[in-house]
Amino acid sequence: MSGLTAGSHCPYCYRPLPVKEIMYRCVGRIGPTGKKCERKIDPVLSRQTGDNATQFPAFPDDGRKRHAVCPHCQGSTEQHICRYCHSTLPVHFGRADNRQIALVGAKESGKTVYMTVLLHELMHEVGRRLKASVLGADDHTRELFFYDYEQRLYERRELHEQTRTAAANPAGIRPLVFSLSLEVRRFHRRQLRRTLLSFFDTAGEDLISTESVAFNTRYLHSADGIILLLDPMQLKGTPGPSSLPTDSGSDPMAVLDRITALLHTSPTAKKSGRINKPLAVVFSKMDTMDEALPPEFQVQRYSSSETTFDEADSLAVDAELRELLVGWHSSSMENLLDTNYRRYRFFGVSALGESPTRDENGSQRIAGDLLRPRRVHDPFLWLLNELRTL
Amino acid sequence: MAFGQLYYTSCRAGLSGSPGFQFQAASPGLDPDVMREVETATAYQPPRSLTSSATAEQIQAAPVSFCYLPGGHAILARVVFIGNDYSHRFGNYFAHALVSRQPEQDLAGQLPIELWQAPFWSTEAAARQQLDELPAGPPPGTLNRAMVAAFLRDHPGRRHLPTLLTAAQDTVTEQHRKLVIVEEHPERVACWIAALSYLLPPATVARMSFTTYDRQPRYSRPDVIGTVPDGDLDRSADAFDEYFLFDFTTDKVSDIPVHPIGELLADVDVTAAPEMWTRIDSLADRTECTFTDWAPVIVAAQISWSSGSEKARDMPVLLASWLGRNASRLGSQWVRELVTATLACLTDGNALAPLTELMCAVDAIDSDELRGQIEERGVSELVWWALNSDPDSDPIRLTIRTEAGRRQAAEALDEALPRAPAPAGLMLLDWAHLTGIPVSAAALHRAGVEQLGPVLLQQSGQQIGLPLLRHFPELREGVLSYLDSVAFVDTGQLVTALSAGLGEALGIDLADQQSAGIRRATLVIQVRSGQLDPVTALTRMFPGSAVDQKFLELLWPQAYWSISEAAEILRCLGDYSARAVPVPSWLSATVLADPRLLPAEEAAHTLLCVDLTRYPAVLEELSPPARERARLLAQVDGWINDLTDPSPGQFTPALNQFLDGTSRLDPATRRRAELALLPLLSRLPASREAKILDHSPQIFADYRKLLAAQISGASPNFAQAARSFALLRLLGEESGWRDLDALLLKTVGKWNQRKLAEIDHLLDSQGEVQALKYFRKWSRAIPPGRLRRVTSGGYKVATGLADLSRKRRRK
Repeated sequence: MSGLTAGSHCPYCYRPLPVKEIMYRCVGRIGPTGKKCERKIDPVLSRQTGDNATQFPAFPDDGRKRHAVCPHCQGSTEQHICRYCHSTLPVHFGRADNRQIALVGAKESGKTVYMTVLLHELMHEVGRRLKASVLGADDHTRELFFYDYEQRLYERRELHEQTRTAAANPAGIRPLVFSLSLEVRRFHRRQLRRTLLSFFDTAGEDLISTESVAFNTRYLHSADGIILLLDPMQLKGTPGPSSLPTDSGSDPMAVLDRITALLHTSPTAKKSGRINKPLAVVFSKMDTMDEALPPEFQVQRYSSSETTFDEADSLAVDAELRELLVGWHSSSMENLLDTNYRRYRFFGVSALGESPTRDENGSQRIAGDLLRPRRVHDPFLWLLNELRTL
Repeated sequence: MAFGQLYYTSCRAGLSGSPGFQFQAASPGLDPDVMREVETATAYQPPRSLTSSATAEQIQAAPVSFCYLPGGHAILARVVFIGNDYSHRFGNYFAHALVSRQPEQDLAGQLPIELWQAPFWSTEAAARQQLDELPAGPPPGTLNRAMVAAFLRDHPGRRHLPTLLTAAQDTVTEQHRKLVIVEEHPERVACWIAALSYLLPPATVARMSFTTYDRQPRYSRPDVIGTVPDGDLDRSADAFDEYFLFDFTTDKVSDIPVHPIGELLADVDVTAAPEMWTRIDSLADRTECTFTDWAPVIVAAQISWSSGSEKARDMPVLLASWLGRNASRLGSQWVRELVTATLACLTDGNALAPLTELMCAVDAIDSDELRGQIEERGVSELVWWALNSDPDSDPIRLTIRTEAGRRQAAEALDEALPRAPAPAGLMLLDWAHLTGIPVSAAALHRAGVEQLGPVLLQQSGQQIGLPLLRHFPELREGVLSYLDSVAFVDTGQLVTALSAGLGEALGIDLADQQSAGIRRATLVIQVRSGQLDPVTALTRMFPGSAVDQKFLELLWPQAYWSISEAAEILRCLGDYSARAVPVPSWLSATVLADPRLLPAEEAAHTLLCVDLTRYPAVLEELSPPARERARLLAQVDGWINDLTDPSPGQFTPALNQFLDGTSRLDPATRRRAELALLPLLSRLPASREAKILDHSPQIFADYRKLLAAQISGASPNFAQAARSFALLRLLGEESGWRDLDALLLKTVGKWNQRKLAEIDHLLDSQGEVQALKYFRKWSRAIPPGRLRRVTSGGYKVATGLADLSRKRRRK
């Protein structure tokens, strides 16, 4: 386990949160004085996250300590909370690497499906291969991911609803936070490295609506790596049944432009310098392009199941996609990335393996009995590799 | 005035210009911030049981979210689930929202919940993106008071209505917990919300936000949230603490204390509620917020109202207190109605304080009729209270102003005082004193004897009733009578009470002709304060029968007279001493006391005995042993006197008489005789003293002891030391010369030259030539001290010379 990190970002509100400034929440046990704290709606938690369940009192203390004593009931508590949004922090926060992976993209580029499949793969097939375990870091993540994401896609075989904008989300703005435990070798000894991963399933519209820009700016600024999901069918010049963008929210170039502009406003960004955060530019729904691509292209194959991250394979796919971009009349994207990003790479993935079908009610459903995701974990592993987490 | 209208859904074309969730149409001129509020307020999630395979009927039966959010722009919206969107993605809903800057005017007297299922609500996208405003006073929905009354009548959860009202009021005013209602169908939730809207204070209802359905109450903003059993709410035990949870599907509700006002409101039929709130409106001062603020106003509105709750009649105390403070603004009609109703509801034993408050209210409208009613009730309550109150009651503050009331009060006091417990009686008297109600002399005297007297005696040091003593002379007389009656039984307690200030409060002075009991108590106090010595105090009680054992013990707590005190008492009282029973007994004790072995005291003791023989009446009352001893010691005194006769030839017979006489006495009396003789020895010539010492080893031993005490220490008695050398010279060696010499060597032998010179000088001045010579020889023979031993050749030589010198001297 790594030691206390000097500073980090809250995985829920993405504000910088030095460990010392972590607050505590009473757990409501009867204290040594016989008093018991009362539950009330926490106005900060309610305002920041929309959570209106009653909570025991929050109080400040030195966040570096494991325990603190509640000033009201004198009871001991180990529950750490963010001083800004009062969200209960994961158990390993402050004692584990804290990596924020931002998942952004154009409207209808398949972000929710991609995130669901990626996490499912990390929890199962890829996790086994990497000797990694991925668990929800809080009750909200565990329940929401299981019921609203994983069960829906894998058991009910339904596609997700259109992701709500932040304003229309009844649960407010609340990311999914996972704890990734990886077994690594260091000095010939096996060690467990824990990393907190925070995903925010943002709606494509949130990148353009001014009301959600503030939160998304924090989200992008605090991210250690970014996965940018683009639907290749929305690019001009792609073969097959094109679904050209009808607005700036679904135009891949416009989305990339906006994200780049937001990242340049980061306080840590150098003036006139390139952005140092690794950016994985991921073309989703690549199964729709299968027939139009040369058969020798590696992007159509499943990634290697032998190694943790195949750098050569990744570079080959990157080169293929750069070549395709020229053919899709989108080489300006490569130029934009070259001039603004120090580290970026192209990936081609298919979360479902094939296009969804429609049932008798006209609703979209998963085709076939099994999902056959292709290369969904490649961008993620590349990011972890770049962040030296692997 | 009109409502702005908005349609929100996932559609291909709307106000955003791109497909997706957006406002499909809206009235012109709506603020973007308001639109964002509407977007958030109308967010909808269908129950989890509703999947993409749901039929059209199931989708149509999905719960309707009817919500109201008050504020600068009040939002009223109806959201229905519609299944797939334009792109065939499941999860689409349609929200029709109304926005109003002045909801009260726009609703035109209707409550927000009354627009439930109103005909104007749309579930389909508009043909145009611009909607017309909805005029004020929209057509009502399906909910009304009659329907809600029927719903409450039939619902098994009706008994939880007081708790629900309490919870709703707390949620709106305190915002500590959300109120969650679980019902099978949102329409039933709407009925509960309507019941709350009809029964709660209108100001609360205006602030109360609600929604009839939300799948996730945890993330829902309104105060009152409806949900369905297959929503996301975990209905475990914790949820009943996290929310005010009313799960009517399982008949379980959060365990919270029900406010009495919740009970009162719940008892009112919702169809009658408008009348109640009209009454309340004319009584309220518009500052009420919480149920506690509203409580007296609601009680006032219900207590005299035919449709009011019976429970309101149990709260007259609350109402009286409020009425006293608010009567001036209510007007005489309300005050008359409420005072009359309150008087009718007050119960015995708890009405004095409320009556005082009611009197304040009546003062505001100046009604003699009501005042008379209150006074009449107050007097009867006073009697009840006096006979039943607890001792820690608050002081009575009831004022009686009418003549009739004062007459009644005086009669009631005369009747109640003798029967009331002491604390209550005192409080009644205090009240009579403050309000000037006359009390009869007989009642006052009786109160002094039976109530105040015992209290003052038992609770000494506390200023109970003291002002009353000054105000009511008859009361003081009663107290004095009581104290006098217990003075002989409980003198000690009386002394304590009088010392603690009661005497001063009662104006007791020794110069007064007090009763014997109080008088002797005051004498004890004076003795204890040092103003009087006990012997004088005793003599002041003579002649009289008040001198008893208790009195003597109070004067002499050690229960013993010294010889000098006994002699003084005998001298002052003479034969009167025999009249008080304990005095001869105490004299006997002094006579028979063990010898003190102090010669001076023994001499005084002998003199006391001699004195006793001079008062035959007293002597006869002494105990037989004391009487016998007194007589014997008087005889010894005669023998001692004979020894002092200076006539030649008398001494030897007198000495023999003394020795023979004392040898026949019992040992104790003999010792007393010998000790009595001892102080006289120094007054005899040295030759006679030497003879006495020679003949009585016991007297010689006593003499040595006395001498040792006199010549030891830093200030020795030089005269006794000088006389001892005269005796030493005269004493025979067999009779104790050696013992006396040893004593003198231990004492005088250690003296320095200056002290020795003093003896030398005394013997010389007394003309004791032989004694002087003897002393000088004796002093030269004193063994040398350490310094002399060093300077004169060593200890052995010195001691050898000294022994030699002593032997030579004896020869």
